[in-house]
Amino acid sequence: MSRTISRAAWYVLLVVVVALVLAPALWMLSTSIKPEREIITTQIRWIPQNFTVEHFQAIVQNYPMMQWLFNSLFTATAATLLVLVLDSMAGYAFARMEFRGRGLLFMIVLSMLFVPIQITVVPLFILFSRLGLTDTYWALILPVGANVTGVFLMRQFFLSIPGELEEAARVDGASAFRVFWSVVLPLARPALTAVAIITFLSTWNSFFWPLIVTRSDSVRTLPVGIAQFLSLRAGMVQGQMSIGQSMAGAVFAALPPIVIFVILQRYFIEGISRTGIKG
Amino acid sequence: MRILPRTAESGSYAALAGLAPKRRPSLTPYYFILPYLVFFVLFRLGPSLAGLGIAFTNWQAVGTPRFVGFANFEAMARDPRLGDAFQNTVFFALLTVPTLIVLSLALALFLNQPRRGRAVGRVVVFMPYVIMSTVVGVLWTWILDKDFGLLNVYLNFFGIANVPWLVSESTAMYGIILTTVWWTVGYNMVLFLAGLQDIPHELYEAARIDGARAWGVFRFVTLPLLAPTTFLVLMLTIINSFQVFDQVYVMTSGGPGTATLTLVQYIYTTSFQFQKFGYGSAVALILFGILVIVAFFQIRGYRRGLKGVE
Amino acid sequence: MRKLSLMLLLVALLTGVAALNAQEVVTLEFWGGWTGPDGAIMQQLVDRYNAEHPGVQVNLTVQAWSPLFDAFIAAASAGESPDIMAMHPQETAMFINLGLIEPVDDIVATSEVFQKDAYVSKAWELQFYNGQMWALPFDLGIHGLYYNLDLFEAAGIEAPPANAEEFLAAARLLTVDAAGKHPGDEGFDPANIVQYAINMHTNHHGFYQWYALYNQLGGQLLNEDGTACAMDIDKAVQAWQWLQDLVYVHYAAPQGQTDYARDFITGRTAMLVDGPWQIPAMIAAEAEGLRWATAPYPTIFDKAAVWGSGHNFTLPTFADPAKRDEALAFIEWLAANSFGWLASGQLPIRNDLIASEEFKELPGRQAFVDMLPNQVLLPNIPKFSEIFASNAPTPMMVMGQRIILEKADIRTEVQNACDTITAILSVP
Repeated sequence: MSRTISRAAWYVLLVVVVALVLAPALWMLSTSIKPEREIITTQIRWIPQNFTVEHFQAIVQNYPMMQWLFNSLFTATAATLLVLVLDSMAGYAFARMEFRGRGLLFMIVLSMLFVPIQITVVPLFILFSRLGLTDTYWALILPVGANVTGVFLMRQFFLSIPGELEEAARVDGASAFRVFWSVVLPLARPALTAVAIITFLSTWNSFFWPLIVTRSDSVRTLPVGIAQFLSLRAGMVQGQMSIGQSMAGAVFAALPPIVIFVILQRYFIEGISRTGIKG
Repeated sequence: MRILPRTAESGSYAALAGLAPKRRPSLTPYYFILPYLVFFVLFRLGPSLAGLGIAFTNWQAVGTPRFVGFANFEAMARDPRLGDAFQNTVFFALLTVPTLIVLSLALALFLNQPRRGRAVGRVVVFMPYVIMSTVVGVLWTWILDKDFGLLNVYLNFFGIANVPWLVSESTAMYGIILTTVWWTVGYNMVLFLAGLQDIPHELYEAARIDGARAWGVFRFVTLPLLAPTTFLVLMLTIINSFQVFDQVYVMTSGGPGTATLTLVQYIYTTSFQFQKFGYGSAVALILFGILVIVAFFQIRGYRRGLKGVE
Repeated sequence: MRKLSLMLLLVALLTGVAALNAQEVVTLEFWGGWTGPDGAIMQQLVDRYNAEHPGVQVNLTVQAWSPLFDAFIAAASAGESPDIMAMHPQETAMFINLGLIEPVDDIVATSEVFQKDAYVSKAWELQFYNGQMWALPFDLGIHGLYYNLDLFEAAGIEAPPANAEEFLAAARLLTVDAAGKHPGDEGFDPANIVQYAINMHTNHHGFYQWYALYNQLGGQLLNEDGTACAMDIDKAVQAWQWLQDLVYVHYAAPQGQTDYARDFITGRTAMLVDGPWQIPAMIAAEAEGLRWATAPYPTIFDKAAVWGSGHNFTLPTFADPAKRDEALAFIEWLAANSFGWLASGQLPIRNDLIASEEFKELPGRQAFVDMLPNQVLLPNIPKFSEIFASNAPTPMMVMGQRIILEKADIRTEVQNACDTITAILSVP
């Protein structure tokens, strides 16, 4: 796209946008490195007078932060890999293959986006209890495999790639799976990246289900863990919460996905651009 | 690899509506789809159907559910809170959906300019979406604090008196909306950016040669070609807006009074806090119906629109 | 011979290993909602217990009460439960009604720790429902009045206010605008108040305060069998009027306040109505120069009454019955060692502890303990959360927030709340 605004206007606008969006996050960061008595004042001060890492030290000492971090990293990664396998195959079938009931089946899959998870949590818990899998990594990973958005995005991508390459491979006598594996999937790498990041983020941030299904620190994930010391709703908690520790926990939990996004953002934006959501 | 522009009929949304051309049937597709379907049926469809089925029972999460027919639906007529929740949800959606669409499209167009620093802009705008909902809620409750919150302090700077935000019925929902926009605008922006990449550069050139101004290019080239993306973003945004929960749950629990009580917050409250899982599921079933209808009209409107363009 | 001794050694080793295995560690799941600094204190107690009792491993799960109960209910739907569930006395009827907790009469009959005479009678009585005992008491928490000694001295007030007259007089002196004027002075500017007399809860503690004041007037909330609202509308209005006027007539409390403890610590308010759980924060703020003391919740109307609640321990229905004795042993140990818990600010309920010298040395507690006999709890009914839940649009929350935040017409709101309560209770 060609340039439609002047250089000066571009920089001014860019700074304004970045500042507006970034301010709340920077405030979180700034608070996490202030001593508590600087936090509790009523003045706005972005740069702490006294820089401290005491809140980070406190949460790492008082809570099994590293264990929770590992649990989150492990389950989010495993769930993402699972989704990549399941959704790329299903998305491919929905997009490029003819079979009875395809339209109806896809509609049923999509319609599950309309059911709030608050309704499905208890039946799902009963299921995992019957399977004997509550309070295990399995309970955190397996349900992600049923995710709908990933199938939707993969399907959109496969719809947009031209069929000629597949046809050529098929003429050469390759099986459907072989065509998928060696012709289609390599093309889909950007889309897979996009689905990977979206799945990773939603699993990483998931709160209600992990809260219900985990009991022990050896399985518990970061969002559930740090909720123990987040000052949810002022006055809801009896006793004064340390705001500094709340914010330190927030920064701690936000850092890994931010780092991952910064590394993958070029690929990600490119990835979604190739999903051909324009149809 | 350049993806050629396709006609709408062979594109995804036509296919979504069941218009894709037919090919020879075989067993292979089922091998591809079966692994996913196993997970889908076990962990999504099954629990969802069970959850929705509870709507016809008086289940309290413990003990055997007893079938009560449509009693839960009849009880809705006598429930003023449900009306509040419905109104609030529609209000939230009416304000949030257009704001999110327009703002994210503007940001996408802006950050699509071939200039220095756009990658930084993209990362920053997407970044809030990376933060978990509980943290977003805590952070914004604090930023929106009436007396010492960051936002009001800066509004004072511009001569605007303290806005009560979350501690007034008249402003609380705006606080939730503001938080939602900040949190999710980046996600929509990325989808729009993606759509913009697929518009062939030549079309802009052609429009330019024809003497079109920036607005004209946007109106007659960008917007029509972006329609499929807009449709997708609109659909996802509407679904998410009607199901808004996390921000409300963490920031206000539906208060003050009933000012920010939304449908899903109410489903959660009646189900878990009041242990009326049957009633909560009945409300969820109504919400499901609303979203099916909205989606139906959206798909129909979109297809009509496409025909109009051609 | 050598072979034989080797064999013997091996057998001995094997039996040793077997014996070690036989001494299995019993794990107890223990859930509580202490997400504040009290959570860390409870964890220390649990760690101590685990260290002293090698055969037992107590796992403490802490989460805010509301999601914790969600998990408790979801687990019960599949027939699972923690071994010990902490809650508040006024919530037990709800879980009794769902069949989630079991009576403890049999345990108490044989326990050496849980004996009626050893406890403050109020704390003991709260554990009963329909003639049975359902929970083991642990602590109580009631509202009290914190006040800032420096600000009181500056205003020339000698003692904390104990009744309405004293309260209004003190409130006037403690409310100061930017020009140093008080409400009622000529030229007093309500838009520029720099110091307020007292806080005003805009959350559930708002209606908790109202409930105390309404009880001070002798009001009753529900009818005897708990099936309908039995509010005396005039008294209900009178109690709310007091609170609303503090904000909108006397300018004694800030409108739309959100962080009560912060405002007291920073001197924005000179008094603070809150529970004893704020005591640790006050002690911490002494380092910043805060000088504070506590007084009983003032008696504004006819007789003393103060909102209260507490923590207790219940034994869930779906817990493993084989672990019940171990669970009880742990709860008994906690009760006997509850001095450590007092660091959280919560009030002791064992008579020996209240009388002990070590308790008397703890700062700020006495004013609270003196008020214990006057505490009033919200009614313990099966539909508790539909009427009183703090994080849902319940009739009490809606009434309180509309009156305090929106300056809504009190009589209308009270009548609405009463009608809603009756409607909720009339559904079987």
